[in-house]
Amino acid sequence: MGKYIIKRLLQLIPILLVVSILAFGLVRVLPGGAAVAYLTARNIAPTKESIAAAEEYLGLNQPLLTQYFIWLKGAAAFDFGVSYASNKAIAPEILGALRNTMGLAAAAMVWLVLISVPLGIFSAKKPNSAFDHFSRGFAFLGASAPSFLVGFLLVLLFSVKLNLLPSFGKRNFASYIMPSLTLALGYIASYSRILRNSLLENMRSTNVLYARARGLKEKRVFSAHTLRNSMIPVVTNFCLSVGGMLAGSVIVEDVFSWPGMGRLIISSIEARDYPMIQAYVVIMALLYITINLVADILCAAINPKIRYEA
Amino acid sequence: MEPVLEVKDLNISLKEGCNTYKAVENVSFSIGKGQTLGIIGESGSGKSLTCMAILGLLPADVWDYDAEIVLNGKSLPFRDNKAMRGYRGTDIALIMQNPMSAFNPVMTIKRHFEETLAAHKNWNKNQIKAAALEMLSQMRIKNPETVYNSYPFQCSGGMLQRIMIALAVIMEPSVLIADEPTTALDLTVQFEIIKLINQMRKKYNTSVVIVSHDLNVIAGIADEIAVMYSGFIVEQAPAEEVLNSPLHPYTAGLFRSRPSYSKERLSEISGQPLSLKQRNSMCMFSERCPLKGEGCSNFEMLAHKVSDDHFVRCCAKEMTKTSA
Ligand SMILES: Nc1ncnc2c1ncn2[C@@H]1O[C@H](COP(=O)(O)OP(=O)(O)OP(=O)(O)O)[C@@H](O)[C@H]1O
Ligand SMILES: [Mg+2]
Repeated sequence: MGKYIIKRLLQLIPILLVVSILAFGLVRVLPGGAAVAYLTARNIAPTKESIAAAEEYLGLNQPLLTQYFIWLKGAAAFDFGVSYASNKAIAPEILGALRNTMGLAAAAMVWLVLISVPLGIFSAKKPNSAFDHFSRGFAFLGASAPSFLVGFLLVLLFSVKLNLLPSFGKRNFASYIMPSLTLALGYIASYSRILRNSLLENMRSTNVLYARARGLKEKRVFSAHTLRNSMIPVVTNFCLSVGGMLAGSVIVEDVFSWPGMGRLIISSIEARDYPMIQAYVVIMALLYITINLVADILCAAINPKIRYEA
Repeated sequence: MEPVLEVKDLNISLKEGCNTYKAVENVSFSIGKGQTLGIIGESGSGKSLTCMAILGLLPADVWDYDAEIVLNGKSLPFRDNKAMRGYRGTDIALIMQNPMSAFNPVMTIKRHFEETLAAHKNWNKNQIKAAALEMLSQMRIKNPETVYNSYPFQCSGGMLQRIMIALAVIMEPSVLIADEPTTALDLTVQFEIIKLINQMRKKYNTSVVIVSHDLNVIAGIADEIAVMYSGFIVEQAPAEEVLNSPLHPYTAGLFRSRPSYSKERLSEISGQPLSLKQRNSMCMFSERCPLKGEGCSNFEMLAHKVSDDHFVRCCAKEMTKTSA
């Protein structure tokens, strides 16, 4: 297991280098250039002289390779320079947003486990019962409803009509409830079905029959054999789609004005805040890779076959 | 001699909507201590259903079944899943056909032993390990310690089948049911597995029910042979008698299709057995029978006693007997 993790960590280095080149190159190829964007953000008219001065100030007149290495050196130490828009250091600002997004994702994960596991188990215990049909309908709706719509409906019900939960921003614990539920809903819908089908298949499997034939208690047969083995496809699927959750959070953050990475990047693009965009790309790539790594390790932990093949 | 296991009038039918289809009919047999009953018959004849019924492992929402099953003088509560749990693994152990899919791929062999023994005995992990390693080496596994700590997918089919025998015999059950224990294995390994089962039978004086559609397997080990066809035992007698003077045309056909070293052409029984839904009130075998005659079309598969321990379900035999 240790070897497997080290191998995966070493694979990260080339990926991150490519990402850094892309993030750096992005700003160089955009029309207008960084200097103009800087001046616009400062409300200074972009004349020949002011552009030259800005290029001098931002170090844009140095050779490209030198610029890249200066930037890379900073990025490696988590120093991404100063935001054009706010004139403040980028790293603390982006880390604050990152923490909010991660908090949202973690809360969504709690919903996911809390709802989809029991839903999957109860539908599998009595297939084609009323409950199973209800959960199938719920899964169909949940998987096909776009999250902005779900978000608006929740706000309408819990904030406007019932006045129970805050409709936007991050103020207290209650502010987490609706955005995280919105983010989780699509996943709850599909994972509860994956779990149900996988449970039904495993209930009829030879190894469950053999477990019963050895005289194991029904509880043990279910938890150690049926359920345990049924979690494998659920976790594997989750590992594949965990990146999508990050992407999905952009929409949810926008709907609920959540001060996370999604909102940060939208406002930065609007302001053409290039250093911020660069930092965002690098940090998101890092995050994406790390989450995938954790997901893969989770898969290897639950399925010994993967450990031995790697 | 008091029989260890007695199955009386086992009837199993498949439930489908409001219809039921008979899958196993009037199966009765008994096995004495340390004896081996061989059940032979082609695919779909109801051999596995019979085995699973004894263990009470047929799901009640699919199968309807009725019988009297007596183990060591006590009637088995085969309908009661909870009560049966105490018998499974301890009194009646099962060896399955496909060792590759019977073991749980995410659990080590060690955990399989631990959970099985924990379900029935108050042993600690060291006692379990000692007993398991001892059992594994009796199965002629050369590096029991390594095997004990490995995952099923790291073992070969033959290895897993030995482990399965070890897991069954470790509880010293009074009955061992082996449902086609060699079908999934290489020919060279098959012989070895049969020999191991036989050795364990002798050592622990276990009664064995062994199922196969391979006559060579049955002939080598069984004291008594039951031939199944379409849910019926069509012939049953001591092994010698069945092998030397088979009476049912199906049994005779089976023996002719048995590969041997003679130059004689391998003759098969032509045709297909009836599926559950095709079965009706005529002799199940009549469509394929070389002796088919008048009486076959409404023969109710009654058992005809040839001698005290030999019976056959065939109207041709019944006729010859009565007319003689
Ligand atoms: N779950 C099921 N649903 C419907 N029919 C079934 C089911 N299981 C078995 N059957 C049918 O019941 C009959 C007997 O099956 P059984 O498994 O006992 O045969 P078998 O003698 O063990 O054959 P094999 O040599 O293939 O293992 C077959 O006709 C089979 O098609
Ligand atoms: Mg079978």
